[in-house]
Amino acid sequence: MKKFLFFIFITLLFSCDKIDGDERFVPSGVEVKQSNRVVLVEDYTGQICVGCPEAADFLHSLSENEYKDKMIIVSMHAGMFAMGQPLFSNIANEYYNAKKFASNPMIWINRQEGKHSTSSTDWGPWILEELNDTLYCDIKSQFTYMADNRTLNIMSDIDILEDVKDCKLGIQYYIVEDNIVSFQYIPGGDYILDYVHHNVFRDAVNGLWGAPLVDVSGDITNLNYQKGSHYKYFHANYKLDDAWNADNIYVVSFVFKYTNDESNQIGEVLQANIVKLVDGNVETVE
Amino acid sequence: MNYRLLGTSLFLVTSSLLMAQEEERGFTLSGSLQTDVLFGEEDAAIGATKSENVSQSNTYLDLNLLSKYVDAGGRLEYMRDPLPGFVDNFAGQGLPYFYVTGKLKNVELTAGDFYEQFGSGFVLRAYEERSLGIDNSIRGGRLRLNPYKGINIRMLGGNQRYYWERSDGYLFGGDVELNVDQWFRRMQDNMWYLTLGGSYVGKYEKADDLILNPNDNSLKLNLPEIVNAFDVRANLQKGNYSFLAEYAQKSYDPTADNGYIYKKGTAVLLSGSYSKRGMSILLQAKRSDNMSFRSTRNVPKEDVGSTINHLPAFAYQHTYALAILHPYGTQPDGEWAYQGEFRYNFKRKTPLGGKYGTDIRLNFSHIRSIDHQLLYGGNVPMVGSDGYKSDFFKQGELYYQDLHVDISKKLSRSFKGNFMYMWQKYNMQAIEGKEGMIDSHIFVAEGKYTINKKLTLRAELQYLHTKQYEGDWAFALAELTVLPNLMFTVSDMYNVGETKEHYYLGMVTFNHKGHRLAASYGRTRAGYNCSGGVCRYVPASKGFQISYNLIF
Repeated sequence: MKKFLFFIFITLLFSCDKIDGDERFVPSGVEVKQSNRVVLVEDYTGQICVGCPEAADFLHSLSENEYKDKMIIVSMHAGMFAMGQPLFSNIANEYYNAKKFASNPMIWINRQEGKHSTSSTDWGPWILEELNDTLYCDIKSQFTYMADNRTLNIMSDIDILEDVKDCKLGIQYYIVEDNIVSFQYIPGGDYILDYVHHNVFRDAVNGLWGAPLVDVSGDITNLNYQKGSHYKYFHANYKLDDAWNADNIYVVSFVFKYTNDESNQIGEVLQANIVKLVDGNVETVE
Repeated sequence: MNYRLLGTSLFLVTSSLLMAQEEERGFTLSGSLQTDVLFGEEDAAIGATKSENVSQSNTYLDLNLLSKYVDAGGRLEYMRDPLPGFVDNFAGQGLPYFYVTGKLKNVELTAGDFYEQFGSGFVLRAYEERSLGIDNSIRGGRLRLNPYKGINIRMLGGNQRYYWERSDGYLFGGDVELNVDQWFRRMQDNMWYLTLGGSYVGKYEKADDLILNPNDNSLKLNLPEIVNAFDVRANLQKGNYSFLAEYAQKSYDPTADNGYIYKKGTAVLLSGSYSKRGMSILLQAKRSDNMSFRSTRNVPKEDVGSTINHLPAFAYQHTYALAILHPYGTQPDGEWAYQGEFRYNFKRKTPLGGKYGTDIRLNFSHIRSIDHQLLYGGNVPMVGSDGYKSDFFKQGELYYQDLHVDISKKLSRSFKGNFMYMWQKYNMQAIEGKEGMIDSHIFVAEGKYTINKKLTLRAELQYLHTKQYEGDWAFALAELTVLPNLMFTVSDMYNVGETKEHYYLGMVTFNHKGHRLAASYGRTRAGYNCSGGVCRYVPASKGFQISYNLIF
């Protein structure tokens, strides 16, 4: 009996899955389908968040490699690690509080329920899931910009590629500013005074919760969008803040499903697009 | 608030009280009711927000039926809109805890939910801590037996609670404790007490999580399905001396906590104490490295759910308001921790003891990070790698330090004073991710005056001085106890340095037998609530709160 128990004990002792260094990774069996889907990745960050630069670098790496031209990163300076700092945005903070986020970096993929996480091992798989999901619509945006009064008009064409039923669609425009040089804290108690912040959220052009996507009849109660139908949206006379560098301004536009939650109305993002504002010209980012 | 559920609960309690203590029938009914209700208000100055509902509450009703051979019980919980600071997963209602235990001679078998701890908790601690929202009870089976004198064996298996769901992984394990002194008469005669213990806990979790290689999404992590953890310990007592040595080890366990690295975890603890009438000395040291152990591998680091083990904090657990302004939470990545304490009682009618005697306590806690040499560069360990190298004795940055002296002295028949000075260093950068090391000097004076047989007045004055973060703080409290039932308390915590905000509180408490009812109104500062080294962030709040406790 004693020998038997000892044998069981030894078996358990060594029954752990010992995985040597060269066996740590195996084929994942996943690949990106060929589609035009572009995923919106909101990085809820802050200038005194020491772990945030690492997250930003990781997302940037994904956007330059596996998911090149398939994801749009927007840095949303919100929460207690951003509050009171120069890049803090009240509007980004509204979105942060609406989801009751409590830490940074918090990455939210396509505003999908449950696809928000502080763990970098979640982001890649979720982006992949979104890219491989059905492409319900496409959006193309362009604008005209009057440099003398820093005013722009934005126009978008939206094509419905698959039927969307029983929900209201909306369109949202973000103004983001790239290459902002400001301080950033990093691990170890240090900070970099001339850190370059990318795609910093500046404003929601057409309101906190965007605007409904409507056809020419103007019917905002419509909850069905037929495959093959086409929509236009136009926002006029948006004035850039004088503190922003117009040469580094981008407009991020996306189509989304409205939720039934009054306090958090922007739901799943169906398609996103980013356009760079260049003085007097219009340039679409490839 | 679901008034129907609350009413049903109150009815059950009332019925139980009428049936209570039926010892002549061979069983005893006992239990408790705890409910805390906050009627919150918005207060933009301190960042307090209001719930959509009229009130927020956490309510627990425990009932236990005890008899000679069988015990049974359960707990109803109601927190549809929980108190501020509890995560979304915490909200819910139902019967998350129930059990039946059979007892016969030296054997006890439990089916259902149970709590258990092996040794210091390095490999297993299933417990409930309501203030932190922790309940990692195990649902399954547990066997306890004493087959022979001096031998205690426990075996268990099951699945842990994760808020209102279950963890993905399953636990199994056992613990053997040998009280060697019970086998040798000579040891008992000479007052030598030796206890040896050994524990094993295994976790099984399917390896179907898709953890992609961040640099190449065509590859995913090959995750171990079984993780093993062991613990050995020895406790020796001889007269006034006591020593404890404990070592624990965990096999490869790539999780969200450690960034999915393949590195073993270890923990070692040494403790020695000497105690005699009027004096005691305690010295302890602990090193932990990658010993966070969860029953669901993907639970985020900041989540308190699904923890299998518990790494005790070596920081003194203060109760004074300004001393716990920056409480320390055990760092799961690893730490070196030391604690020393010296207590002495100067006897009465001695020069230092005075007429009534004087108690003095000197305590020192010092906690540092362990050595972390990342194997592949960068600022965080690489996913799927061995993570980092760590020289055993090498230590890194200071996490926390607490040096305090506490003097307690009865100054007259009716007046007792307590005075404390504390020097605290708190690495807010490492612990909360915010800037800087906060270096504080804290002064506390407390007095308790017995006015007459019925009335006692207690007052506290505290001051915290620091040049960092929010600057200086001041705190004052006055408490009038009217025996046998009532207590009135008013307090205010004021930020002298930065915000100039007052965090005032007024409270009335009524106690009668097993009942305790407290009503309060005031503001609560945002901060961390810690217990036993585990912390929960609590947002600022303001409003009227009612708390009711009943034990029967």
